[in-house]
Amino acid sequence: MNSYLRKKTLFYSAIIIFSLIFLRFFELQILDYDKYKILAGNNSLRSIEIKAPRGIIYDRNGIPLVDNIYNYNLEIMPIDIIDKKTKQIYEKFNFSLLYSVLGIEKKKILSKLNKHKGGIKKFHPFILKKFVSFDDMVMLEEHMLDFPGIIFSEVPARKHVSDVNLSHVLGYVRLVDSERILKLNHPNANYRYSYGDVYGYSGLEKKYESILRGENGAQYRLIDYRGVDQGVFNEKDGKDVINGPPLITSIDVNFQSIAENFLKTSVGSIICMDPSNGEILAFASSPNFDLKPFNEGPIPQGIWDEWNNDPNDPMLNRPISGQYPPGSVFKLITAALILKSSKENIKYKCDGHYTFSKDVVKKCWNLNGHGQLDLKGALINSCNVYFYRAVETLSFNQLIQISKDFNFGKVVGIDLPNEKKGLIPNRKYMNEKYRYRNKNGELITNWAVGGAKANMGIGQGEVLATPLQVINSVNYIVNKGFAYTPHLVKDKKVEKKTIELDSYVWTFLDNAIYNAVKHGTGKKANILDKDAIIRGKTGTAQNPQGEDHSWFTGYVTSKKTLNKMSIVVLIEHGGSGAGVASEIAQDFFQYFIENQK
Amino acid sequence: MELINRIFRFDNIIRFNFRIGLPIVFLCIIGLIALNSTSVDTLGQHSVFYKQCIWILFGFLLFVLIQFIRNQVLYEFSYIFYIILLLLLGLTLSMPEIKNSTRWILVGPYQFQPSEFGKIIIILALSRFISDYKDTLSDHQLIICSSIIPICPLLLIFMQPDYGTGLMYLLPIFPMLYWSGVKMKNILLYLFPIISIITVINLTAYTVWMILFIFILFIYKFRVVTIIFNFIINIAFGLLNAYATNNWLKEYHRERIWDYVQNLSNPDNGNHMGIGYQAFQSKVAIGSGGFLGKGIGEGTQSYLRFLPIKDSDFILSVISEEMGLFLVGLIILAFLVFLYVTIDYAQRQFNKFYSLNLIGFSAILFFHIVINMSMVTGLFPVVGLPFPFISYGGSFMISCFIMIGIINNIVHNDL
Repeated sequence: MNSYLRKKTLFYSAIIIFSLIFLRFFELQILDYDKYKILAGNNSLRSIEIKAPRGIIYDRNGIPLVDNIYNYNLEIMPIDIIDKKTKQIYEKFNFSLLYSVLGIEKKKILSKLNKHKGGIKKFHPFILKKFVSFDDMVMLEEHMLDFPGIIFSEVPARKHVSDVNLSHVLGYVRLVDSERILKLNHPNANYRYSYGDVYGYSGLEKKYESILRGENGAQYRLIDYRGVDQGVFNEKDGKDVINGPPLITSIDVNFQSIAENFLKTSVGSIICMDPSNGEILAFASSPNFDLKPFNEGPIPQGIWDEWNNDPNDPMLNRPISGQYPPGSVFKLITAALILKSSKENIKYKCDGHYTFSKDVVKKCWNLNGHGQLDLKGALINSCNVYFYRAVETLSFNQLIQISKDFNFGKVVGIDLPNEKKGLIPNRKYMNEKYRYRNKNGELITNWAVGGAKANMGIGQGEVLATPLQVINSVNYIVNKGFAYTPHLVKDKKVEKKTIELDSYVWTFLDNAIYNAVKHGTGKKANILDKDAIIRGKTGTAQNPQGEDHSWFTGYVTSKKTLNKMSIVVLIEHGGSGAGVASEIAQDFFQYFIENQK
Repeated sequence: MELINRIFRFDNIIRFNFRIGLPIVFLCIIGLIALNSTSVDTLGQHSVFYKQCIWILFGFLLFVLIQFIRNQVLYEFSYIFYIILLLLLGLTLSMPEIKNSTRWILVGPYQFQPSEFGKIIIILALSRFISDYKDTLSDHQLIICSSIIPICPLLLIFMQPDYGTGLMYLLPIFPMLYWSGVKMKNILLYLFPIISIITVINLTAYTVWMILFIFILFIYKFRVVTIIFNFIINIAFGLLNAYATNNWLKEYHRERIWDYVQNLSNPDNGNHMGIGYQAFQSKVAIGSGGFLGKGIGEGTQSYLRFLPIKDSDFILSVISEEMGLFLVGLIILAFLVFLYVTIDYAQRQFNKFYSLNLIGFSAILFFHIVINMSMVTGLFPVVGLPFPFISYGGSFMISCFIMIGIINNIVHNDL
């Protein structure tokens, strides 16, 4: 075979193909050079991100709580500040004006610029000064021609516009940093954050982040060789901004400001809500922190440290993260079990103390004793001895079960982050807690079911509950068997949880807490208004840290409108629940009734 | 020991053929310069550049190692390699997906892409088959039988799917068959359906092609039966293509091809930010380079990250933006030198197997370069084929060095 011919054919066809390709390069690089030079070369297309404004947060009556503001950073685009002919900063650049307005020296600009001159960095603006005030920015923008390459970038921030604090409900936002961006933009995330975005770090801002943030848009803009913006390159190529939709919360600013006022001097929490749909009207935790410092950039370290070192822990969201022994308010749960077992008519005698074992003698709060009591009387007088005796006939597991039914020991499911579970001890928990090795190395568990039951029956011992769980349990009584998950957003569809108990049980409990306010321990919560029916239960929770916590939980019904409002008040170390907590509740009831007219 | 002696010979004096080596060194240097200027990552380090240096060094070591191998071994083991390739490709299908594709075998933290080395093995197996049976089989028999060799692994690769590599298995068969002495007109008969498949994307192109096709059939004076039969087959393949695009290709393939067609017919349309974004930005980068380029490190397009995969498949657009048409010309010239030398040696090589090896390997490199260059200039859809010795990438760099190693070994050390 003539392989010389084949060699020629193969090589020439390669040359032909390469010539065609070379021609294509020739076409692009020589013939169409001018066209592409405009598209790329000295004029460059830049993708500019347009930040979506975050959704504004309102109270239930349309009063804005959180609005948007912008802070401004002064940035420099290295490629635009440098004269391409002299390779130096443009001569016209007005250093003295910049110095007189912002106090930035020429030296500082030059040294920063030197770090950002080379390679890829020259196309990325660097920050010269953070958080320039609006006035300074306007001042400099008037002389924009003196400052080639200067950019004011907007840093989105939140402004808290209302008088109420609501710090634990609203929460705050943070700027996305390089560390956070990796976390937020994990592979499965359906939204990409970019630098300069903010994200909800706590409270509703965090919980409703996916709604509030909206969606950033983009524009492709043509920048010419003088660094002058020649406008949008092609409308179609950009992406429209989707504004964050407004979030209307169920908070009532008036209730909220009352709640915050009451708690100004004490440590504790108040939740006020509408039991008929689960909307929270007021949600206060004290002490709290001021959200306003968050408006202007990162919070000063001093303030931050002060909050974190405060022994009263203002950062703790007490209504949902504070866990307290519920004390006597828990007797309602025990009572529900007694009623379920149809033992409400059995009478026990209270002579002021109860001998649990030889060494352990437990006292009633009334050392003189209440005499013969049935369940009704025991609830009105909040008698401990009755409950000690009554739970003797009940099983530990039943007691745990009914507590779980009332949502104790598990999260209620409010739309805020960091909700705590509280604690309902079961056998496993007790075994683990009260276990030690004796001298012979044997494992000994040192607790008695009887004692655990007795403690749990009056909400003491290991039992822990959050104020949210307590108000939730009252909502079951208000609605006679069901409760909506408490939530902070108006008209939100939430789960309706039911407890299967006889309607007789609910009526009995309802009457019992009515009488407790009318005749019993909750007298101070009662108001003298014929339109109002007040029901409630006090609690005095003993705790190892010091003086007793003061509880009150209950609800008010307006006879006129039949509207209801339930409330829980907890004052840490506030003494008897019959005292301070009841007084606070009374004022709320008063305010509620006055506004029903 | 006996086996090692059969495979290696240690008394060999290694000689490098500089006519083959210099163009390759030139390409490597260009690649490193381009990577050095583009690949400054966010931390300001040249991690890609250093990795590329290591790959080149590693490739060179393999090149040296290959000089100790007896070339006879390639002939003896070619079918065994082929079987191993099929097994490995089968294995990849059971591997977890990376980026919607299962082309990698994962061994601990390492990834290994058998289809990349398959390109070499296919050439070896084809060379052996063609050199063994050229004299016993007729042209048509030889074409059909030898095309089975790349088609088996091709089917496995299409299941991964990786169409760019698949193309590389099929294309070298034509120059190799031609080199072995099969008549051009017989090869063309089998090439026509492929052209039909490609042109059917655009109806005008298909019509023009069909007219040209009939014309060619008559020029080569085929028998009437062959003409009619071929005509029907070509139309059938055209129809098959419509079926294939709907059923075999993944969504992004279809979008890419559609975008490519759109781009050809209307190069200035506004929709450049979609999937054709890359191809368009690549054209802008190249076009704005001009004759001498903007200077090394001055390419605005690539710096502004308009070119998403600028390190690997699109490195040529960075090069032509920064160093201009001048360097593109030099690259083409350098490769033509290499090609001429290799074909020249292939002609002088008496052993048919070795001769076919030279043609096969240079064909693989040739097609890579041609398709890559057409891709960055928007002449060909984006298929993800890198530029030999310039693009960043481990497996491909190594397999390129292996090919060059074998070529050098055949040319210089085992005559």
